[in-house]
Amino acid sequence: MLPKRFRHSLSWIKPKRELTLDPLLPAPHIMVPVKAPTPAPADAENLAEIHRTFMTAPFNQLLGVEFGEYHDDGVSLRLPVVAHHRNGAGVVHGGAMLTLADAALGFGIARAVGKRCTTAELKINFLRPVSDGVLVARSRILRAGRKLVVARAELMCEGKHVAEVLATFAVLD
Amino acid sequence: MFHRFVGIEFVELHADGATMRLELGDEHRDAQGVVHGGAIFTLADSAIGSGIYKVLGKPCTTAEMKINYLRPVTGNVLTARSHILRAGSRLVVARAEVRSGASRVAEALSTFVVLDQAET
Repeated sequence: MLPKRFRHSLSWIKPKRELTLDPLLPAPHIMVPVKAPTPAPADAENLAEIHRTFMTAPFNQLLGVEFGEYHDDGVSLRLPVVAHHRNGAGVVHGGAMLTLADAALGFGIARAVGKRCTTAELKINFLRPVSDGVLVARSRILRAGRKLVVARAELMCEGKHVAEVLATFAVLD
Repeated sequence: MFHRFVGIEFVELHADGATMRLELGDEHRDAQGVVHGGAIFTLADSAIGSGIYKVLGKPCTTAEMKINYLRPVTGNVLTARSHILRAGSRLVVARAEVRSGASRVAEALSTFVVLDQAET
């Protein structure tokens, strides 16, 4: 028995109320857990389709996102800075940098798992202001699970590290 | 101005932040036809940035921001409402919630750096 002062912290182990069984579902003991298949990289045909959908995505096109190159663990996308990417202070808006990073992450992940994915959460640190040049976002997949993919992306501009992103994507189907 | 290029408009100033809105069109969609995460982030970032600028009267820039996307957007208009949580002399911490009608679609938490007058 645990000392009394620790007992409350384990109270979550015991269900507070009785579990009720849905009569329409099979009894729990005959339910077989269904494991989603392990993700496999996109094949050539699938990859061409992924490439097309990312490069023709309206919001990416609106900003001017361009393809860079493929890597083993991700992709690089480019964004040449133009006047309308800047904010009132004359530097590139964080939203434009994030859009490029998100696209590089989504593209790299879709290619690695061969399925549709969506951003669940994303954290960006802006390291330096950017006012000119070509932004390059390079994504790297850290772990591809069946349901979630964790990846990071680095944004470079003219040889300088300008932002760093860490994100979780949800695998959709 | 990037936020105007994207189509973001200022709506209202509050005691602790600001509300901005984005009327959605086809250009804001991603490869799957849903609103691009970058557009939602841009709206949240703009609401926080303009809220800090208008409430505190200080120019500032985003140092870092974390966004959770809660559900896909179904409506035609997005609104972001920012709340300043703490305003220090160097750093400002603020959050923003992005809504589409009655449903909350994203939540953002960010740190802004107050710029010296010489830096602006």
